[in-house]
Amino acid sequence: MRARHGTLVAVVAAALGRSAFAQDVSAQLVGDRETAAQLSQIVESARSRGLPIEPIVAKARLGAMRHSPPARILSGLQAVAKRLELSREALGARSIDTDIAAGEDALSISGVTPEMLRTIRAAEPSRSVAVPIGVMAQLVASGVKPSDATQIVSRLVRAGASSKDLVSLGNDVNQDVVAGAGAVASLTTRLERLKPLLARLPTPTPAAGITSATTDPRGRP
Amino acid sequence: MTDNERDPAVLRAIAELRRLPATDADAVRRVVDAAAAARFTTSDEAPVAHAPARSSSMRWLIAGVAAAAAFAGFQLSGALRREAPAPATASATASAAVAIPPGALQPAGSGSADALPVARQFVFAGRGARSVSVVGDFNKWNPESARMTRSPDGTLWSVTVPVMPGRHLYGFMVDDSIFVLDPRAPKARDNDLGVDGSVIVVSRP
Repeated sequence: MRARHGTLVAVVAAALGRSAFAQDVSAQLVGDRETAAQLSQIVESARSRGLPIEPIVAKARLGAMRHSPPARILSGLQAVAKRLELSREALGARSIDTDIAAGEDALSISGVTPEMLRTIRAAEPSRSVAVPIGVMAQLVASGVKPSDATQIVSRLVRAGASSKDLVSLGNDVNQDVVAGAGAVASLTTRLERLKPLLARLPTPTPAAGITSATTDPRGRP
Repeated sequence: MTDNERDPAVLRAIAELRRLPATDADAVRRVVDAAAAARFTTSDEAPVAHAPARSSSMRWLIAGVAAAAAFAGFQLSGALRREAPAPATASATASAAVAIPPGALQPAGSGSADALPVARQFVFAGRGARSVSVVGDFNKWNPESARMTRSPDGTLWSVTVPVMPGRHLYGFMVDDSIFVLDPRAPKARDNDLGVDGSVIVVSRP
Protein backbone atom coordinates (compact mmCIF):
# COMPACT_ATOMS: atom_id res chain seq x y z
CA MET A 1 0.00 0.00 0.00
CA ARG A 2 2.83 2.37 0.84
CA ALA A 3 4.34 1.76 -2.56
CA ARG A 4 1.05 2.74 -4.19
CA HIS A 5 0.94 5.95 -2.24
CA GLY A 6 4.49 6.65 -3.20
CA THR A 7 3.58 6.15 -6.82
CA LEU A 8 0.71 8.58 -6.58
CA VAL A 9 2.82 11.34 -5.14
CA ALA A 10 5.76 10.63 -7.37
CA VAL A 11 3.63 10.85 -10.49
CA VAL A 12 2.33 14.21 -9.38
CA ALA A 13 5.92 15.22 -8.82
CA ALA A 14 6.90 14.08 -12.28
CA ALA A 15 3.96 15.88 -13.80
CA LEU A 16 4.97 19.02 -12.00
CA GLY A 17 8.56 18.67 -13.03
CA ARG A 18 9.68 20.01 -9.68
CA SER A 19 12.89 18.29 -8.65
CA ALA A 20 12.74 19.05 -4.92
CA PHE A 21 9.25 17.66 -4.68
CA ALA A 22 10.17 14.66 -6.76
CA GLN A 23 13.34 13.81 -4.88
CA ASP A 24 11.69 13.05 -1.57
CA VAL A 25 9.42 10.45 -3.13
CA SER A 26 11.43 9.24 -6.09
CA ALA A 27 12.66 6.23 -4.14
CA GLN A 28 9.08 5.01 -3.94
CA LEU A 29 8.35 5.22 -7.66
CA VAL A 30 7.09 1.68 -8.13
CA GLY A 31 3.92 -0.25 -8.96
CA ASP A 32 0.34 0.47 -10.05
CA ARG A 33 0.89 2.03 -13.45
CA GLU A 34 -2.80 2.46 -14.11
CA THR A 35 -3.36 4.59 -11.01
CA ALA A 36 -0.25 6.56 -11.78
CA ALA A 37 -1.45 7.24 -15.31
CA GLN A 38 -4.82 8.48 -14.09
CA LEU A 39 -3.19 10.74 -11.57
CA SER A 40 -0.88 12.19 -14.16
CA GLN A 41 -3.84 12.76 -16.45
CA ILE A 42 -5.74 14.70 -13.78
CA VAL A 43 -2.81 16.98 -13.09
CA GLU A 44 -2.00 17.55 -16.74
CA SER A 45 -5.62 18.19 -17.61
CA ALA A 46 -5.89 20.81 -14.89
CA ARG A 47 -2.66 22.42 -15.96
CA SER A 48 -3.71 22.53 -19.61
CA ARG A 49 -6.91 24.32 -18.63
CA GLY A 50 -4.93 26.93 -16.75
CA LEU A 51 -6.17 25.85 -13.34
CA PRO A 52 -3.91 26.08 -10.30
CA ILE A 53 -2.54 22.61 -9.64
CA GLU A 54 -1.27 23.27 -6.12
CA PRO A 55 -4.56 22.21 -4.48
CA ILE A 56 -4.49 18.97 -6.45
CA VAL A 57 -0.93 18.27 -5.40
CA ALA A 58 -1.74 19.11 -1.80
CA LYS A 59 -4.69 16.72 -1.84
CA ALA A 60 -2.54 13.93 -3.28
CA ARG A 61 0.03 14.42 -0.57
CA LEU A 62 -2.62 14.53 2.15
CA GLY A 63 -4.08 11.28 0.87
CA ALA A 64 -0.69 9.64 0.76
CA MET A 65 0.24 10.92 4.20
CA ARG A 66 -3.00 9.72 5.75
CA HIS A 67 -2.83 6.39 3.89
CA SER A 68 -6.10 6.83 2.02
CA PRO A 69 -6.85 4.15 -0.59
CA PRO A 70 -5.51 5.12 -4.04
CA ALA A 71 -8.98 4.92 -5.56
CA ARG A 72 -10.27 7.41 -3.01
CA ILE A 73 -7.32 9.69 -3.59
CA LEU A 74 -7.99 9.64 -7.31
CA SER A 75 -11.66 10.42 -6.90
CA GLY A 76 -10.72 13.18 -4.48
CA LEU A 77 -8.32 14.70 -6.98
CA GLN A 78 -10.97 14.61 -9.68
CA ALA A 79 -13.35 16.34 -7.31
CA VAL A 80 -10.77 19.02 -6.55
CA ALA A 81 -10.15 19.62 -10.25
CA LYS A 82 -13.88 19.93 -10.90
CA ARG A 83 -14.34 22.37 -8.01
CA LEU A 84 -11.39 24.44 -9.19
CA GLU A 85 -13.13 24.79 -12.52
CA LEU A 86 -16.41 25.77 -10.86
CA SER A 87 -14.62 28.19 -8.57
CA ARG A 88 -12.88 29.91 -11.46
CA GLU A 89 -16.12 30.17 -13.39
CA ALA A 90 -17.87 31.70 -10.39
CA LEU A 91 -15.10 34.09 -9.36
CA GLY A 92 -14.02 35.08 -12.83
CA ALA A 93 -11.28 33.89 -15.12
CA ARG A 94 -8.98 36.69 -14.00
CA SER A 95 -9.10 35.64 -10.36
CA ILE A 96 -5.78 34.92 -8.71
CA ASP A 97 -4.91 31.34 -7.81
CA THR A 98 -5.37 31.99 -4.09
CA ASP A 99 -8.98 33.00 -4.66
CA ILE A 100 -9.68 30.06 -6.94
CA ALA A 101 -8.23 27.71 -4.34
CA ALA A 102 -10.31 29.36 -1.58
CA GLY A 103 -13.42 28.90 -3.70
CA GLU A 104 -12.54 25.28 -4.31
CA ASP A 105 -12.15 24.70 -0.58
CA ALA A 106 -15.49 26.36 0.18
CA LEU A 107 -17.26 24.29 -2.46
CA SER A 108 -16.05 21.15 -0.71
CA ILE A 109 -18.32 22.04 2.21
CA SER A 110 -21.87 20.77 1.97
CA GLY A 111 -24.35 23.48 0.98
CA VAL A 112 -21.89 25.95 -0.51
CA THR A 113 -22.63 26.68 -4.17
CA PRO A 114 -20.90 28.56 -6.99
CA GLU A 115 -23.65 31.18 -6.78
CA MET A 116 -22.51 31.98 -3.25
CA LEU A 117 -18.99 32.55 -4.52
CA ARG A 118 -20.40 34.87 -7.18
CA THR A 119 -22.20 36.86 -4.49
CA ILE A 120 -18.97 37.39 -2.57
CA ARG A 121 -17.05 38.27 -5.71
CA ALA A 122 -19.72 40.81 -6.59
CA ALA A 123 -19.20 42.43 -3.19
CA GLU A 124 -15.48 42.69 -3.81
CA PRO A 125 -14.80 42.68 -7.54
CA SER A 126 -11.22 43.88 -7.58
CA ARG A 127 -9.45 42.60 -4.47
CA SER A 128 -8.67 39.13 -3.20
CA VAL A 129 -11.69 37.31 -1.75
CA ALA A 130 -9.78 34.44 -0.18
CA VAL A 131 -10.47 35.66 3.35
CA PRO A 132 -14.20 36.44 2.89
CA ILE A 133 -14.69 33.06 1.24
CA GLY A 134 -12.70 31.35 3.98
CA VAL A 135 -14.80 33.00 6.68
CA MET A 136 -18.01 32.11 4.87
CA ALA A 137 -16.83 28.50 4.76
CA GLN A 138 -15.92 28.62 8.42
CA LEU A 139 -19.34 29.99 9.37
CA VAL A 140 -21.05 27.26 7.37
CA ALA A 141 -18.85 24.65 9.00
CA SER A 142 -19.88 26.12 12.37
CA GLY A 143 -23.53 25.55 11.57
CA VAL A 144 -24.66 28.78 9.95
CA LYS A 145 -26.97 28.31 6.98
CA PRO A 146 -24.87 28.75 3.81
CA SER A 147 -27.15 31.42 2.34
CA ASP A 148 -27.05 33.38 5.60
CA ALA A 149 -23.27 33.09 5.86
CA THR A 150 -22.92 34.31 2.29
CA GLN A 151 -25.26 37.24 2.82
CA ILE A 152 -23.56 38.33 6.03
CA VAL A 153 -20.03 38.07 4.71
CA SER A 154 -20.86 39.85 1.47
CA ARG A 155 -22.62 42.66 3.34
CA LEU A 156 -19.68 43.05 5.70
CA VAL A 157 -17.33 43.22 2.75
CA ARG A 158 -19.50 45.87 1.09
CA ALA A 159 -19.52 47.81 4.34
CA GLY A 160 -15.74 47.85 4.34
CA ALA A 161 -15.03 45.28 7.05
CA SER A 162 -11.37 44.39 7.28
CA SER A 163 -10.07 40.86 6.85
CA LYS A 164 -9.27 40.91 10.53
CA ASP A 165 -12.89 41.76 11.40
CA LEU A 166 -14.14 38.93 9.26
CA VAL A 167 -11.73 36.38 10.69
CA SER A 168 -12.55 37.46 14.23
CA LEU A 169 -16.24 36.96 13.52
CA GLY A 170 -15.66 33.48 12.12
CA ASN A 171 -13.39 32.46 15.00
CA ASP A 172 -15.73 33.87 17.64
CA VAL A 173 -18.74 32.05 16.25
CA ASN A 174 -16.77 28.85 15.98
CA GLN A 175 -15.60 29.08 19.59
CA ASP A 176 -19.13 29.86 20.79
CA VAL A 177 -20.46 26.81 18.98
CA VAL A 178 -17.71 24.57 20.35
CA ALA A 179 -18.62 25.90 23.81
CA GLY A 180 -22.22 24.79 23.26
CA ALA A 181 -23.96 27.86 21.83
CA GLY A 182 -26.22 27.74 18.81
CA ALA A 183 -24.75 29.05 15.59
CA VAL A 184 -27.57 31.50 14.93
CA ALA A 185 -27.53 32.88 18.47
CA SER A 186 -23.78 33.26 18.36
CA LEU A 187 -23.77 34.96 15.00
CA THR A 188 -26.52 37.37 15.98
CA THR A 189 -24.69 38.26 19.18
CA ARG A 190 -21.29 38.60 17.58
CA LEU A 191 -22.66 40.83 14.82
CA GLU A 192 -23.64 43.38 17.46
CA ARG A 193 -20.02 44.48 17.55
CA LEU A 194 -20.10 45.16 13.82
CA LYS A 195 -23.38 47.09 13.80
CA PRO A 196 -21.70 50.49 13.41
CA LEU A 197 -20.00 49.17 10.31
CA LEU A 198 -23.20 47.70 8.89
CA ALA A 199 -25.07 50.90 9.63
CA ARG A 200 -23.25 52.42 6.67
CA LEU A 201 -25.35 50.26 4.38
CA PRO A 202 -28.83 51.41 3.40
CA THR A 203 -30.63 48.09 4.00
CA PRO A 204 -31.33 46.35 7.34
CA THR A 205 -28.54 44.54 9.13
CA PRO A 206 -27.93 40.99 7.96
CA ALA A 207 -28.64 39.67 11.44
CA ALA A 208 -32.30 40.24 10.67
CA GLY A 209 -32.02 37.76 7.86
CA ILE A 210 -30.63 34.94 9.94
CA THR A 211 -33.34 32.35 10.17
CA SER A 212 -31.92 28.94 10.83
CA ALA A 213 -28.89 26.82 11.29
CA THR A 214 -27.90 23.74 9.37
CA THR A 215 -29.12 20.41 10.71
CA ASP A 216 -25.91 19.67 12.54
CA PRO A 217 -25.23 22.56 14.93
CA ARG A 218 -21.52 21.95 14.56
CA GLY A 219 -21.92 21.95 10.80
CA ARG A 220 -19.89 18.82 10.41
CA PRO A 221 -20.87 16.84 7.38
CA MET B 1 29.47 49.61 -4.00
CA THR B 2 31.33 46.77 -5.73
CA ASP B 3 29.81 43.59 -7.04
CA ASN B 4 31.29 41.74 -4.10
CA GLU B 5 29.39 43.96 -1.69
CA ARG B 6 26.01 43.49 -3.38
CA ASP B 7 23.35 41.12 -2.24
CA PRO B 8 23.56 37.79 -4.15
CA ALA B 9 19.93 38.21 -5.17
CA VAL B 10 20.76 41.56 -6.76
CA LEU B 11 23.70 40.06 -8.59
CA ARG B 12 21.53 37.26 -9.95
CA ALA B 13 18.89 39.74 -11.06
CA ILE B 14 21.51 41.88 -12.78
CA ALA B 15 22.92 38.82 -14.54
CA GLU B 16 19.43 37.89 -15.74
CA LEU B 17 18.82 41.42 -16.99
CA ARG B 18 22.04 41.42 -18.94
CA ARG B 19 20.87 38.37 -20.86
CA LEU B 20 17.56 39.93 -21.80
CA PRO B 21 16.87 42.16 -24.80
CA ALA B 22 16.48 45.89 -24.27
CA THR B 23 13.13 46.98 -22.86
CA ASP B 24 11.10 50.15 -23.07
CA ALA B 25 12.77 52.43 -20.52
CA ASP B 26 9.56 54.31 -19.87
CA ALA B 27 7.68 51.11 -19.15
CA VAL B 28 10.41 49.97 -16.78
CA ARG B 29 10.24 53.31 -15.00
CA ARG B 30 6.49 52.90 -14.50
CA VAL B 31 7.01 49.44 -13.03
CA VAL B 32 9.71 50.69 -10.67
CA ASP B 33 7.45 53.55 -9.60
CA ALA B 34 4.65 51.09 -8.94
CA ALA B 35 7.02 48.92 -6.91
CA ALA B 36 8.05 51.95 -4.90
CA ALA B 37 4.41 52.62 -4.13
CA ALA B 38 4.13 49.25 -2.39
CA ARG B 39 4.79 50.33 1.19
CA PHE B 40 6.50 48.16 3.77
CA THR B 41 4.65 47.52 7.01
CA THR B 42 5.73 46.29 10.42
CA SER B 43 3.70 44.00 12.60
CA ASP B 44 3.82 40.73 14.48
CA GLU B 45 2.23 39.12 11.45
CA ALA B 46 3.81 41.23 8.79
CA PRO B 47 3.72 39.74 5.32
CA VAL B 48 6.67 37.50 4.76
CA ALA B 49 7.53 39.45 1.67
CA HIS B 50 8.29 42.41 3.89
CA ALA B 51 10.37 40.59 6.46
CA PRO B 52 14.01 41.13 5.49
CA ALA B 53 15.74 43.87 7.44
CA ARG B 54 17.82 45.77 4.93
CA SER B 55 18.89 49.33 4.54
CA SER B 56 16.35 51.52 2.80
CA SER B 57 18.50 52.19 -0.24
CA MET B 58 19.33 48.53 -0.68
CA ARG B 59 15.67 47.62 -0.35
CA TRP B 60 14.60 50.03 -3.06
CA LEU B 61 17.45 48.91 -5.27
CA ILE B 62 16.34 45.29 -4.94
CA ALA B 63 12.71 46.22 -5.49
CA GLY B 64 13.55 48.24 -8.57
CA VAL B 65 15.80 45.65 -10.14
CA ALA B 66 13.36 42.87 -9.34
CA ALA B 67 10.48 44.85 -10.79
CA ALA B 68 12.45 45.51 -13.95
CA ALA B 69 13.35 41.84 -14.21
CA ALA B 70 9.74 40.85 -13.63
CA PHE B 71 8.56 43.22 -16.31
CA ALA B 72 11.17 42.08 -18.79
CA GLY B 73 10.20 38.47 -18.18
CA PHE B 74 6.58 39.43 -18.59
CA GLN B 75 7.30 41.00 -21.96
CA LEU B 76 9.17 37.94 -23.14
CA SER B 77 6.49 35.50 -22.11
CA GLY B 78 3.83 37.66 -23.67
CA ALA B 79 1.15 36.79 -21.15
CA LEU B 80 0.45 36.49 -17.48
CA ARG B 81 1.61 33.14 -16.19
CA ARG B 82 -0.29 31.19 -13.61
CA GLU B 83 2.30 30.20 -11.04
CA ALA B 84 2.35 29.10 -7.44
CA PRO B 85 2.37 31.80 -4.75
CA ALA B 86 5.77 33.34 -4.15
CA PRO B 87 7.84 31.39 -1.63
CA ALA B 88 8.76 32.86 1.72
CA THR B 89 12.21 33.71 0.49
CA ALA B 90 10.80 35.86 -2.27
CA SER B 91 11.57 38.94 -0.20
CA ALA B 92 10.64 42.22 -1.84
CA THR B 93 10.32 40.46 -5.17
CA ALA B 94 6.80 39.44 -4.33
CA SER B 95 5.73 43.04 -3.93
CA ALA B 96 7.34 44.01 -7.19
CA ALA B 97 5.83 41.10 -9.05
CA VAL B 98 2.28 42.28 -8.37
CA ALA B 99 3.02 45.77 -9.64
CA ILE B 100 1.87 45.33 -13.22
CA PRO B 101 2.25 48.30 -15.56
CA PRO B 102 -0.82 50.38 -16.29
CA GLY B 103 -2.93 48.97 -19.06
CA ALA B 104 -1.76 45.40 -18.59
CA LEU B 105 -4.23 42.66 -17.77
CA GLN B 106 -4.37 42.53 -14.00
CA PRO B 107 -5.84 39.50 -12.24
CA ALA B 108 -8.59 40.33 -9.75
CA GLY B 109 -7.08 40.53 -6.30
CA SER B 110 -3.47 40.52 -7.37
CA GLY B 111 -2.90 44.01 -6.10
CA SER B 112 -4.43 43.55 -2.67
CA ALA B 113 -2.52 42.82 0.49
CA ASP B 114 -4.52 39.62 0.86
CA ALA B 115 -2.60 38.25 -2.09
CA LEU B 116 0.61 38.17 -0.04
CA PRO B 117 1.60 35.45 2.42
CA VAL B 118 1.51 36.18 6.13
CA ALA B 119 4.00 34.81 8.65
CA ARG B 120 2.10 32.57 11.05
CA GLN B 121 3.56 30.88 14.11
CA PHE B 122 2.46 27.36 14.98
CA VAL B 123 3.08 25.95 18.47
CA PHE B 124 2.80 22.36 19.60
CA ALA B 125 3.07 21.11 23.19
CA GLY B 126 4.83 17.78 23.28
CA ARG B 127 7.61 17.03 25.74
CA GLY B 128 8.06 13.44 24.65
CA ALA B 129 8.37 14.06 20.91
CA ARG B 130 11.67 13.59 19.11
CA SER B 131 10.66 15.71 16.13
CA VAL B 132 7.61 17.72 15.14
CA SER B 133 6.59 19.36 11.85
CA VAL B 134 3.58 21.42 10.95
CA VAL B 135 1.90 20.09 7.81
CA GLY B 136 -1.00 21.65 5.95
CA ASP B 137 -2.34 22.57 2.58
CA PHE B 138 -0.14 25.69 2.74
CA ASN B 139 2.98 23.53 2.50
CA LYS B 140 1.39 20.67 0.58
CA TRP B 141 1.48 18.48 3.70
CA ASN B 142 5.22 18.14 3.43
CA PRO B 143 6.82 17.41 6.83
CA GLU B 144 10.22 18.48 5.54
CA SER B 145 8.96 21.93 4.75
CA ALA B 146 8.35 23.18 8.29
CA ARG B 147 10.34 21.40 10.97
CA MET B 148 9.58 22.83 14.41
CA THR B 149 12.22 23.71 16.97
CA ARG B 150 12.03 22.73 20.63
CA SER B 151 11.86 25.37 23.35
CA PRO B 152 14.75 25.50 25.84
CA ASP B 153 12.72 23.75 28.53
CA GLY B 154 11.66 21.03 26.10
CA THR B 155 7.91 21.51 26.48
CA LEU B 156 6.98 23.40 23.33
CA TRP B 157 7.75 23.14 19.64
CA SER B 158 7.30 26.06 17.28
CA VAL B 159 7.86 27.24 13.76
CA THR B 160 6.79 30.27 11.77
CA VAL B 161 5.74 29.66 8.17
CA PRO B 162 4.33 31.78 5.35
CA VAL B 163 0.62 31.19 4.86
CA MET B 164 -1.62 32.80 2.28
CA PRO B 165 -4.67 34.58 3.70
CA GLY B 166 -7.72 32.33 3.76
CA ARG B 167 -8.90 29.09 5.33
CA HIS B 168 -6.47 26.22 5.70
CA LEU B 169 -6.40 22.68 7.04
CA TYR B 170 -3.34 21.56 8.95
CA GLY B 171 -1.96 19.30 11.67
CA PHE B 172 1.28 18.22 13.29
CA MET B 173 3.46 15.30 12.26
CA VAL B 174 5.15 13.89 15.35
CA ASP B 175 8.25 11.74 15.02
CA ASP B 176 7.67 11.60 11.26
CA SER B 177 4.88 9.08 11.70
CA ILE B 178 2.02 10.27 13.91
CA PHE B 179 -0.49 12.84 12.67
CA VAL B 180 -1.88 14.96 15.51
CA LEU B 181 -4.57 17.65 15.35
CA ASP B 182 -4.09 20.98 17.08
CA PRO B 183 -6.12 20.75 20.29
CA ARG B 184 -6.45 24.54 20.37
CA ALA B 185 -7.98 24.88 16.91
CA PRO B 186 -11.33 23.97 15.39
CA LYS B 187 -11.54 20.69 13.54
CA ALA B 188 -12.90 20.09 10.06
CA ARG B 189 -13.29 17.06 7.85
CA ASP B 190 -11.81 16.69 4.40
CA ASN B 191 -14.81 15.13 2.69
CA ASP B 192 -12.81 13.95 -0.30
CA LEU B 193 -10.59 11.70 1.76
CA GLY B 194 -12.63 11.31 4.91
CA VAL B 195 -9.90 12.57 7.22
CA ASP B 196 -9.91 15.35 9.80
CA GLY B 197 -7.67 18.37 10.06
CA SER B 198 -7.36 21.44 12.23
CA VAL B 199 -8.58 24.70 10.73
CA ILE B 200 -6.97 28.10 10.66
CA VAL B 201 -8.28 31.20 8.91
CA VAL B 202 -5.48 33.64 8.22
CA SER B 203 -5.91 37.32 7.58
CA ARG B 204 -3.72 40.32 7.29
CA PRO B 205 -3.11 41.89 10.70
